[in-house]
Amino acid sequence: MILKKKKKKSNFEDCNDNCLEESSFNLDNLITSISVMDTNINIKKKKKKRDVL
Amino acid sequence: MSVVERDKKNELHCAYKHLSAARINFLEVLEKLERLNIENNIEFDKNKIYKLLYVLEKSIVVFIKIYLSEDIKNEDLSKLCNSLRAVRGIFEKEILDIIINNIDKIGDDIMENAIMLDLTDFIGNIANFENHILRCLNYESNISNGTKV
Repeated sequence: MILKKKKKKSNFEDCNDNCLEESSFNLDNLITSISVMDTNINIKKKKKKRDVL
Repeated sequence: MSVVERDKKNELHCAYKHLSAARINFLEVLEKLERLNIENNIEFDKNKIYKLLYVLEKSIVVFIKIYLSEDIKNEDLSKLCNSLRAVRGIFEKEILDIIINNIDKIGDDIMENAIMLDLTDFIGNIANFENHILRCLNYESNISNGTKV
């Protein structure tokens, strides 16, 4: 009986993240996303203040 | 404030320390690059490096806002963690490219070693930041699973 050697799985195969894609390393996208995060947090803060008043 | 919230805040406090240390490491590398630009005429993409610095400093501002808010949203934290991971990746690649492309222009090895040391500190600090954020994110998921943290 010939035993077949099992193929070794690459560590990256299981990774579902898009960390290896080019798009995640786009600097302009990064700047927009951090600015969007900042504005979202500001909006949440304002809403909270309004609710308290 | 509940125990979980207090523990999460403690983790965030440590994460903030690492993030501010990473900013100092970034500025150290930038200072050395600028000096190499003046003294050894080494060119680098200033636009890219300063954009990265902008993202890093903006992230610190966002992080402080998250820290000060009463309810810490896990989504915000994981997004912030991802963007800082990307900053680390781009910065590391950029600096290594600059050093490799100008290896003949950098006369003394001392400067190159100093940049590499600061870069390593930067990477380490961002990694520690990620570690604390992940521990912070684990608190809630472990509690919903019924396991002790």
